[in-house]
Amino acid sequence: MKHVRLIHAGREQWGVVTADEQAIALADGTSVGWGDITLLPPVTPGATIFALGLNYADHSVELGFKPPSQPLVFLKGHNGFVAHNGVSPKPRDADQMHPECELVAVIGRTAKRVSAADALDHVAGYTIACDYAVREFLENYYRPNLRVKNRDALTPLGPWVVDAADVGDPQALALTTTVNGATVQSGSTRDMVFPVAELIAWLSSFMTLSPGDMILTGTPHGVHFVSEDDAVICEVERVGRLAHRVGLKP
Amino acid sequence: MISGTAYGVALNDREQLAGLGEALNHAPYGKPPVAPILYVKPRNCFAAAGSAVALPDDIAEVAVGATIAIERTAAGPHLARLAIDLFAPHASFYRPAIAERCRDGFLPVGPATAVPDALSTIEIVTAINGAERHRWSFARLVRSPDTLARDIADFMTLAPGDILLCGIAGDAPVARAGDRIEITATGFAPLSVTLVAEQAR
Repeated sequence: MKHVRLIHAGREQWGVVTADEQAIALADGTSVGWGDITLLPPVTPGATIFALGLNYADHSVELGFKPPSQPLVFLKGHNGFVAHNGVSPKPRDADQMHPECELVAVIGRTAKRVSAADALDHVAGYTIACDYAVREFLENYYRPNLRVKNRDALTPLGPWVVDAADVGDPQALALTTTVNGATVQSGSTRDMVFPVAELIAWLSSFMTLSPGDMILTGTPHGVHFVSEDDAVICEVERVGRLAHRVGLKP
Repeated sequence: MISGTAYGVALNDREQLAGLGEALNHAPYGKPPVAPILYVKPRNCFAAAGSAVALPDDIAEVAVGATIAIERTAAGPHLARLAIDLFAPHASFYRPAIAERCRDGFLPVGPATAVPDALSTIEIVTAINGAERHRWSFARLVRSPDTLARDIADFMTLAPGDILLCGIAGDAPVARAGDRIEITATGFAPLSVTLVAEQAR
């Protein structure tokens, strides 16, 4: 099933996309069309947002780094999230803003000191993030610093969370990003340095993960700087297709 | 308790920054920081006043970062809370200090109250087992709370429910399992927690 977070009839709620993807079933048993809702990023309020740097070997090499020996994790707030078909505003004082297509694992049950072998039992589902970086603002303090990776509306997320059972092996999924129809990223989750199960095992070895927490698992090769009005689509096999447009920060 | 995201600011203590001196001009840093260096204390860290915080067996000593958090509200003025940023001491600020800063219970926060008038020069006192061990003033901040708010707004928006820890003293004292920590500042109820050894696995 595909779970969407939305506003309908003046209320935030979760819904389930019907099998033909033409409508959304709400918790009260009614069904509504896409035109009757406003889609929101499928995130649980308060959830911890983990993100990974350098988690694909080819992207590490592209940026001049050796792949890390332990996960390079950073944390994000919720200010960056923007729903499917939203707008990500490019800063006026920066041009090196590049989309990063990422598989996102959503935690489904509390995880503390879980083994890699048991880790995927703790995943509720998967979604897609386009986790922009703006390279002009890189500084070597707690890098990647939040001014690069946690800017308002520069993390499109969605369009939905797909149940883990419907996705299967999270390490066998193609990822692509297109900008105005041209492919700028093309990779596979099989090339992750630390697969989803190992990330959950590592994080839960020293902290408790809770339902709704999200892990943005990193991005493959392909650094392409976007411009205002670019149409960007991030796609992850078996999960979906996340679209947004590049705007300009007022 | 905290409904939003908790952000902290590293290297916002002028004395700490001065102590790092020339090192900031060399690898891996290259140059002194330009923008505020933010980090996130995730929700597993949140702990209420009076909590017993479990110290994991791989952290013998924690730094006790006594500070004040400013909380955004949907309407009306900001609020303030005493807060203790607990973390494993670490010398390098190059990579995000997740394993050092994000342990369960590592952010005790007190109740929300009015922002004190003298916030920019407020003194925060840390006592461990009843004896004063540290005292510092927000006059030491590189960026005052107002300046921080302005410089952060340049690249991200703090939402209602989010809190911002205004800075941590570079010479924050350390504590161990069994210690009782109490921090005080004018205008706030004291905030105390105890550290206990984590149960054997």
